[in-house]
Amino acid sequence: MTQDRDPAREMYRPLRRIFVGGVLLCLCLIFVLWRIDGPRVERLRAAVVNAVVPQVAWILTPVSATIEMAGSFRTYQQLYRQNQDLRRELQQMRAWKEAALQLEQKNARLLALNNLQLDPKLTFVTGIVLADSGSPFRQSVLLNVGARDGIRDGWAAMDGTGVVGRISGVGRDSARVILLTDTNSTIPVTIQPSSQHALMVGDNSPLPYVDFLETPELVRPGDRVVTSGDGGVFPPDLLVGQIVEGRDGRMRIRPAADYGRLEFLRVLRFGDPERVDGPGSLIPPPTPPRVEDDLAASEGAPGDG
Amino acid sequence: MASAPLTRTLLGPGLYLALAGALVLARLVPLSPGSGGWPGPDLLLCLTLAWVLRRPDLLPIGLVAAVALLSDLLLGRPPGLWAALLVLATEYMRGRSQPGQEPSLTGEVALFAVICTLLVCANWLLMAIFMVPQPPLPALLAQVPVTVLAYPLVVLVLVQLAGIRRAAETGRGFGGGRA
Repeated sequence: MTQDRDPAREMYRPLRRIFVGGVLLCLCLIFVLWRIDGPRVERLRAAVVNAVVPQVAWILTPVSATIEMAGSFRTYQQLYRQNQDLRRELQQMRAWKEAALQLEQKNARLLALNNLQLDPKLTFVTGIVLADSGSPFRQSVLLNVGARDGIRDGWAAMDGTGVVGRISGVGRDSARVILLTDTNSTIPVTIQPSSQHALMVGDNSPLPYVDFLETPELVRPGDRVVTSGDGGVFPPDLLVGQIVEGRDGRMRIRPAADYGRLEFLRVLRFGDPERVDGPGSLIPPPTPPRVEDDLAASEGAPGDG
Repeated sequence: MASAPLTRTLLGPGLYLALAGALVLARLVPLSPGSGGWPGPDLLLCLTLAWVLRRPDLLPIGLVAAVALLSDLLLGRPPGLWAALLVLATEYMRGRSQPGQEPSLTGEVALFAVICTLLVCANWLLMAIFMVPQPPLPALLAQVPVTVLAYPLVVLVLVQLAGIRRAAETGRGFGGGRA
């Protein structure tokens, strides 16, 4: 070949070989480092994403808006039929609204009777969805709120109706939400009429499945699913979705959140989520207080009798 | 082209950077997150290999490595692994690149299909060795035919619109030629 006689190339060849080897070694080292010290490299990743994605949001937003408009233009053709359906649905909804109003009044009266305070801790931060995960095997979205807005790992994210996912990875002004459909998502739930506890496990399909169900006979398609609050992962009683029977005969959950159009998400402020610091240890029975301690305490404290 | 080699050597990598950036951004557009669906083609792989087969002198290895590592970070893949495999593949393609002659597209696509399959398998194998949780191999391999089908289109765009054709003579120096 002609280029092999090129003297400049001949000179550079060994140097170049070393350079290629160096680049490959660096990349492999990064991978091994990620495998050994995941959290540190993931923080680096969050920082990189935080540096890049908000800068290009001005490109992403109009593109996704245009494509969505094109998609909705297609649905205009079915507008008439849709209109009819909506009217019928509206009639049914009026009846439901009446029932709901009556129930609300009744509920308000009962609450007043009980003097019950609803949990004031659950306030929320609203964020805009900036970007997708970019991989068909990972289900996550990126929000435009981050550590600057007080977002922390583990908080729940909801759309208007139901739980969407969980914060995992926070940059300065961006945060990643792992969706319920991701394979890494497992949350404790309660299935409503039978109040059975179970786990909802994502498997990359639109319908996450139900695992660790004690008596599956009590669960029917159509049952409501809410978070159980077990383990302090999520606040309890957030709406998750409905039970459906999957094509494989497995109990699955259709999320109440509209995954088709995630534009704004609410991130619920929820104290400090449970941290796993080390392997579990034995939980001993509570030790009875020693007699000397009791005596000392009663001597030290002012007598009340 | 030959009259302004410096502009050309700067413009080429710049064009690659712009195209690669556009491809990564296109995958980040939040259209229907969480819906799963069909895996799309890996256009960045098509672009890089098609480019390096045509103008290896305009695509320095450092640029390939940087773009691949950044896309690993942005797209949530394990950082470094896919980038290293991509760099290996471009080095192989660099060695096969011959100046002055445009090969048959069929042969090129066949070569690309083999390399693409090998890359996905190697990626799966290494992830399995390092015990990284990952989707099953068939699901990953489902991406290969889509990517191979997209390859001729990428070549068409690259040759016709971007004007990246085989050079009459390869560039000399650090970036060009085989290792």
